[in-house]
Amino acid sequence: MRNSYDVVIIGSGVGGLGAAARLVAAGHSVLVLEKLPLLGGRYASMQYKGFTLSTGAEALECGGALEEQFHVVGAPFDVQKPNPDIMYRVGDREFELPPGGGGLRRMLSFIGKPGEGDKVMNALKRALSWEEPAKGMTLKDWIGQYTDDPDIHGFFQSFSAAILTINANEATAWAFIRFIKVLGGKIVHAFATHGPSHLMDGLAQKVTEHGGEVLTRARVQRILVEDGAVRGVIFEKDGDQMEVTARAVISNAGPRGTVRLAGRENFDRAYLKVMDETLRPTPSSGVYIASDRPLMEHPGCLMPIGTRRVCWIVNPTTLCPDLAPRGKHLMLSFNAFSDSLSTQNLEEDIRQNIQDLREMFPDFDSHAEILMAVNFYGDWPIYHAWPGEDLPQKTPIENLYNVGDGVKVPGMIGLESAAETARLVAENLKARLARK
Amino acid sequence: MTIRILEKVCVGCGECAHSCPMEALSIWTRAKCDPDLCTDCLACIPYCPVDALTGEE
Repeated sequence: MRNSYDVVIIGSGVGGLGAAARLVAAGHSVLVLEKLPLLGGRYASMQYKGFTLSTGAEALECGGALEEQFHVVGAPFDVQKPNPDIMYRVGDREFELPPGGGGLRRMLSFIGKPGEGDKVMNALKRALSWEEPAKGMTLKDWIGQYTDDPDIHGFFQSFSAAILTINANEATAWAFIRFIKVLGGKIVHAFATHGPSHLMDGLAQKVTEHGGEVLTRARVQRILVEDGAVRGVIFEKDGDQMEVTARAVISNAGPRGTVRLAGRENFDRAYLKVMDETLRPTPSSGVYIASDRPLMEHPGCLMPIGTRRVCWIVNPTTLCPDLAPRGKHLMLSFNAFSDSLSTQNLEEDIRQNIQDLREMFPDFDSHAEILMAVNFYGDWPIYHAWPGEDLPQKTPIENLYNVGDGVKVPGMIGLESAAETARLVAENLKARLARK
Repeated sequence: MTIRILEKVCVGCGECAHSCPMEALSIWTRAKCDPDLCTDCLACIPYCPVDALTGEE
């Protein structure tokens, strides 16, 4: 331990460890402080009844900033890519969206009544090539201008709930179109062969080998601010209180967490106003299911359309059998909250999620056992900001940055959205540190 | 000391259930501890990301 670093990073999620990897690779001294005993935030894994269960995300995105942050420090990126990537299901019909674009039109004509898909596609094409819809309109209302086909609406509901993690009557059409523009047709999903923690621990190991320091059970108590600029942090580890100085601090604790740690009095009021009025977390629930035979054939992700609540089903153990005990299989089934601003319906939403599974998989009752029904919301959400409502990565305090899913670039989603913030912040910071 | 789950703070994310060596914690939208299995080791407390677990005399 030294008492001064170029950069202190609070939190070891994809954004925090990604920024650490990029900065140590450039020769900067970095200290990562993680309050929990495990690294990776909501992309970590732990053992439960012999299964390797994720603490949040199961599938990761390949080919972008996330994969790159492993390569910059030579960390292993041991993943399995399902082919096809995502299957869609309407009733008992399954459909594959081919990679590289062009598939959405075919998908909509496959699921909708003749001609209805084309109406939506023409509007979508205009929005992509000419003018995006104004931010005030929800995706459901926007689609509703062009069709009332229930299966097409079902598709956009599942898509919104799975990708943006809020419902189509909550997400803006603008956020959806930004997603299609920025990432549409470009995402390739994969599973960590031995679970998320295997990847994230490997990344932390390489950060350490490059001279970085990574501490767990190290809880930051205060971000120190002087004359409008960040000066360091005070943290607690093993009952001792320590103070370190830093030229910059990167927070992966969520924008609200960052403000709590640095003190509201140190922030510009315009920033606080935007944060207080618009920053809301996106929630979801997930059911983790064990079975003695694979419940679905497809070895990747499934997006069911027209369900009560289920929007995203993940089957990691066909490709990654190590994640389950021998002879067992694991499946994860996610649903958006029926009201993303309320926790009133948690039990009923999960009941409907399970009812959907029973109807989709005839073997469910005789071969499946539910391991857990979990939620993500509040200070431990899917995203710290609704897509399209993110805060910027830079805070009003000089040299204090946020990374992670509360400061996403519009259009970015998933772990890739957090990794991209790490890339942007590391690039900005490298230039600033070089100037002094 | 025994474990106490602050129900209004718990989001039901499941991290404590993973961390329990006795599998005494189960998650069904919220964490629940089976007192017959819990050995009061308090190993779960640091794993809670929202500080919903405390020790109680």
